[in-house]
Amino acid sequence: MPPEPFRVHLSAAVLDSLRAIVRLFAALGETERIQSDLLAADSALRWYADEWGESRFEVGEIGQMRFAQLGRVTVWYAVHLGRRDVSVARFGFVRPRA
Amino acid sequence: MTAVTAPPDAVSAPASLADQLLTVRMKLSELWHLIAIHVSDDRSSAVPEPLIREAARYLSAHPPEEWPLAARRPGHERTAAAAAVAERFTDGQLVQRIETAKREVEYARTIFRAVADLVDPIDPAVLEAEARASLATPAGQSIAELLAEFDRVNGG
Repeated sequence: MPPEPFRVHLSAAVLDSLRAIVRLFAALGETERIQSDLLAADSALRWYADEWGESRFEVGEIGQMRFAQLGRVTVWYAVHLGRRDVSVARFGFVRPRA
Repeated sequence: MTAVTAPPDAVSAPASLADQLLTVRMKLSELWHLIAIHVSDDRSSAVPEPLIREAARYLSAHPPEEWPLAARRPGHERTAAAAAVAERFTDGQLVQRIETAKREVEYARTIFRAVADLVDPIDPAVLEAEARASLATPAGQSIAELLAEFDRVNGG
């Protein structure tokens, strides 16, 4: 039986920050790179959220807060294993080398 | 709404010793990768020199790209990686290496937390509030949809 994916919840503020990150990397000519990293991060959140990255602390009934990184993308998110919910707190990025 | 299906290679199978070693080494690599991000950050001047030296020593011993994330996934790549590991070591050696790697993971975890807390101090209450805002948001745009929208707008 295949595993059930996590539901990934993104607030309007998180979506806005994602757009800003994509625009920034596009301006640097790295659109493909950041899109590839974000799609891989999306996949990791949906399928491996409970083991991706490193746990930092518990956040009550919304689960465990974790920090993870993939390529240029960093993400803080809470994961609730029982409900299969992922609540993204914020996305960030590793600065491109000058 | 797009149906979400499991990756074609998603299977559940009992982990062999080689699989277990891969999993622990993946976690070790991931932790050192996270440490690398923090010690290379501009703000890493907050990290005491001995901790940076310790991180540098371990980073040179455990290259972050040593165990690619894809190898974590069940399926062909994972199976091939596990088979290669199983060929190289006896069961006894695998058990020994798993235990060693587990100890290294705990050590890396300690370093990561120390470095992360110095370089990237976080406010748990703020992060929790941000996560709660996402959880309270009805299912909307996905990351893939956002990227598709960006391509449409920018003629990608």
